[in-house]
Amino acid sequence: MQIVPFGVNSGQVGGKEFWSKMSRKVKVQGTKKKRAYVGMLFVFPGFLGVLVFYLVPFLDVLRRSFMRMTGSFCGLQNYKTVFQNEAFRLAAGNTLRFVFVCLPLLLLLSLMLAALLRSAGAYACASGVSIRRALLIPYAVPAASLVLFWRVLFDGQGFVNGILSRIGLAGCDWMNTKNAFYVLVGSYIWKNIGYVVVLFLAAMAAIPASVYEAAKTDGAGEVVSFFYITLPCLRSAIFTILIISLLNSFKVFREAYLVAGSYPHESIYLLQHVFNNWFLSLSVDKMAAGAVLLAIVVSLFVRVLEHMWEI
Amino acid sequence: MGRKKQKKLTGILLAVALMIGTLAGCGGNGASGDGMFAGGETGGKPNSGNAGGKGRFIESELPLPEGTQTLYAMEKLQDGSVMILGYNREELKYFTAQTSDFNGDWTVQILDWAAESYVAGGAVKNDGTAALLQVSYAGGNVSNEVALIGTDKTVEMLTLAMPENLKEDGCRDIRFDGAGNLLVQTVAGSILRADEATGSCEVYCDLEGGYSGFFGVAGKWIAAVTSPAGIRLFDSADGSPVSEDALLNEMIASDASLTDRNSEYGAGLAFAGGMEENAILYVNYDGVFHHSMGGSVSEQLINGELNSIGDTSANFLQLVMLDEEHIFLALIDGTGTYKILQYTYDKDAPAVPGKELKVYALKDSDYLRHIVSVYQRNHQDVYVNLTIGMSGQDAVTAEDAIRALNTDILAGAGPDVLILDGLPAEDYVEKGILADISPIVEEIAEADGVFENIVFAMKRENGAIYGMPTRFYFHMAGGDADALAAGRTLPGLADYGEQLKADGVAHVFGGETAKRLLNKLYEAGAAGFLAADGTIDESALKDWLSAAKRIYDVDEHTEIEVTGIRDNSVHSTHNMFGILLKESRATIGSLVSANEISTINAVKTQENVDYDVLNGDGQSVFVPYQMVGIVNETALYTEAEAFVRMMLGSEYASVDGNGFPVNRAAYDAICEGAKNQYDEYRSGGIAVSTTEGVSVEADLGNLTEADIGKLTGILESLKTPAPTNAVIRELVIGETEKYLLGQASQEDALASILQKCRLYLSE
Repeated sequence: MQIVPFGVNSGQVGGKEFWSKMSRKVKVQGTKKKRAYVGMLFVFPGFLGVLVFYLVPFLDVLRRSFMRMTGSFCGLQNYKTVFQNEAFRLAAGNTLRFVFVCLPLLLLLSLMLAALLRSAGAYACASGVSIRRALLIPYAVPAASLVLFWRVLFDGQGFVNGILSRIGLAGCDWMNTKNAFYVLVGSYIWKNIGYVVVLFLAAMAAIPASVYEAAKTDGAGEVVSFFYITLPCLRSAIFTILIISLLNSFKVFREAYLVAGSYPHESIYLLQHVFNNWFLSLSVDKMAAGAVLLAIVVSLFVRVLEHMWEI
Repeated sequence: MGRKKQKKLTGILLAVALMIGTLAGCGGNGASGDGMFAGGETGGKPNSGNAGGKGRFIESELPLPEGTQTLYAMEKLQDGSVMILGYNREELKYFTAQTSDFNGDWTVQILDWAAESYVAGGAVKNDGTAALLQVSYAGGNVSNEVALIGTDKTVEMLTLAMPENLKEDGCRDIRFDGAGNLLVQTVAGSILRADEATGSCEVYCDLEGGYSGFFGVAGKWIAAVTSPAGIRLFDSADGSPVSEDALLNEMIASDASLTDRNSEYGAGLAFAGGMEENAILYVNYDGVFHHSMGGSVSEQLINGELNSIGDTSANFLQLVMLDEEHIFLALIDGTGTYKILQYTYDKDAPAVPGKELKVYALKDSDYLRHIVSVYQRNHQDVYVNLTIGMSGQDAVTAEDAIRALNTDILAGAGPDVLILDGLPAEDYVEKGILADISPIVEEIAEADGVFENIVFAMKRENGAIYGMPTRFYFHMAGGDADALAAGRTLPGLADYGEQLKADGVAHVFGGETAKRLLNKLYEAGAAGFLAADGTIDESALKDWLSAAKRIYDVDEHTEIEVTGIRDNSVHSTHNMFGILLKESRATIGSLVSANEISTINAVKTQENVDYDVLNGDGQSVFVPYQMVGIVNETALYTEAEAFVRMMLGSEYASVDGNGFPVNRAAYDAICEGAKNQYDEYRSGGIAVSTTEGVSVEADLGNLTEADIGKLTGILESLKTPAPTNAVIRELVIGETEKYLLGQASQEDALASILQKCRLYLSE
């Protein structure tokens, strides 16, 4: 196995001697079994939590996905029901659409912003901490507060429509039209972009300045450096950020739910709406089958990404 | 210990700490002391401190003397006996009665005295004397008199000479304090001491300008319950204020409903002296508490959840502690019956009953609490754990509550009995959660008779009944003949309103808020556009939207919702008196009790009005209320059955109000009561006024056979249950409200309702 420092290709940075020392050190530590046990003990509670709160419940969900509400075995009937369920199909389509619109947009925008900040040197200067804090503010804003803000902005008689009417344009009930989807996308991007920029900046900070200096000496400009140094070095970071952003995209349900309730406009009717409503109607059979399908899709997505990233 | 060992030990300790921290959330929800449970309010398992141990106060009823109609006071006498003061409906006289064996053997003495005006209250002194307060407002002159009853039961009249600044005040309550002073409280809240020889009154407890809703005597203290919520304490010996008791204040502040008391009908709070000099006893709906003054904790002697004390439809009159093992509580229950409950300590009784019957309701209800308390009294071996999903004390929404309930059901820790109002009853039926209770309904039908039309409407094709409303009500239109004719359909009602508006009538339907209006119109008219399977007839929905908008637009609206009122009952929402006050020409709303026919009749004496069913779309719609079902997998099916039988039975369903009982015998009993409610000794009236000072009065009378016949005819004609699906209701009302308020066009509202309902149905 090749040990790769975060965001840096081993072939470019560090050298064989460094990694050889590190490898020896690990071997030396591995021989100290007692220390290893202590380490495992520290890992154990976390693993126990995952086991108790995720793995075991998921196994129960898997079991229930093949059973009726009465407890009798029904084979793949629940999966068939879910696939035939119009609401599930709509929600799955909306969720996929949301992910495929949001993730590229988020990565692109945040990468551009991070690159701009880095090239401007703003992040490294004394005010860097303030910038970092400012970037993280949207991520820290509670969903309930954000929702209040949304209502002020996007209500039929809200701020946005007020501005539109002043410039002679017709407004609309944003959350009750197809525009709701774009409001949701905008909200997701706004909320997450700062966080992702900080992740990118952290990854960029791990790239030694000497590499850029060498490239500059060889006549490479900013654009060339970005594409031939920064981007390749961010390869692993992008994978991590992609996974985090994918998982965060599921959290956007909170905002959609708080603004429009269990039955929003159909353009922002997401998978979590279906699961939420199925739970309210005690449709555990459908919910279990849907959850297993979702788990499979997410796992496949991650595997595809891993494959693409050759991890 | 070596450094390595220290490190190892530290590592292990930290690992254990992390593990415990990780699993800390695994604890069962259990029963917390503060009673919070799964997003709702519950008593949890009674927290008696010695749960699983032995010893508890057992409730029994002390039979009152034959013919007792009203109970005014109860007191422990110096010789250890208990004396009461009341009114006997058979003798039509006031009486005192004394008991020493507490088995129902009373020594009754009828008083040779007749009241000349309204008797506002009574009091018994521990030496065996008593007093009745008689108040007259005849001719605009206020007269306060006290009938002093001696130990030989002779009666002497004492006219109270009120202080100069309180001469216009009538008195509303009378008591003897621990020092033997005769105290009266005026309607304005002042607490006065009356000289028993001269009748001269003086302010005894200085409230410093504050208002007291009622007062009680607790040993050597006088406790004045004040507004803003609190309790001010005074020394009986000289009326001087004593320092406030933070815990008592906190209790009052936590439940504003405890601050008012009717001298005849009591309150949710009563006081008594404790066994120790510095202690008092008090009772509220949580139980009976022993409290050392100034202390930070009250000791719960009797848990209200295990007996009738928890019945929030009851009001307490007087609490008496005979000794450490015997406590008496005089109260008037939800049916209007006066009772004395006796609590005797049984050291061998389990502190907590062995069986726990879980009853779940989304919303609280006095009626339900009454049933729970009666069941609890009749089944001392069963603890009824009533869980209220939306207590109103927190921000729990219906969805939150249902989610918590479903979690419990899935975890196998769900309730045994479900009150299905507001719950996804159809989903529960579909998932096999509910048992068929048709055998119980048939049993009740055979024994007492039922409204067959209601039972028929709740039956499935296979004859099963999974949820049965124990009560029901309907929406009515009130007004002149034109209004009643118009009320047969909503568009007709809209036409009627628009015509009056065009004729220059300023107030037609009274100008309710959009939400309140829509709640009524939805229940009355939703059956017209909503099929049983939840599908929506677009054209009918469009007509309903148009009619609702037209009715709403007839009047001007302020859109201010009244909040903060304790709402544990289903209330009549029509306002017939609005017609008398010229605030409306017609009224729409729910009719929930036979008693309301009296008020409608009272209005009829002055205006040519009547009432009839409001038919949304030509349907005869009834609104199911307190719909009960049994969970299929309950381990306590027999107990659950008994509970449902009690809810549907005639004995406890014959309470007027909260809708009409499905039980026919109970309904007949209610009607019989309404026909004989008033006589030459008991009269009733209603006086209402507007903020502009316009006031009207009307006398209430008994119902006639014709009144009963009309009401019964209407109830028997109701065929269609108002849709109970809470999700569709919220979707329709939510979007329609926007339309009514002008925030959305009809097309948008219609499209939005259809789209959202389609989503719901496709799930």
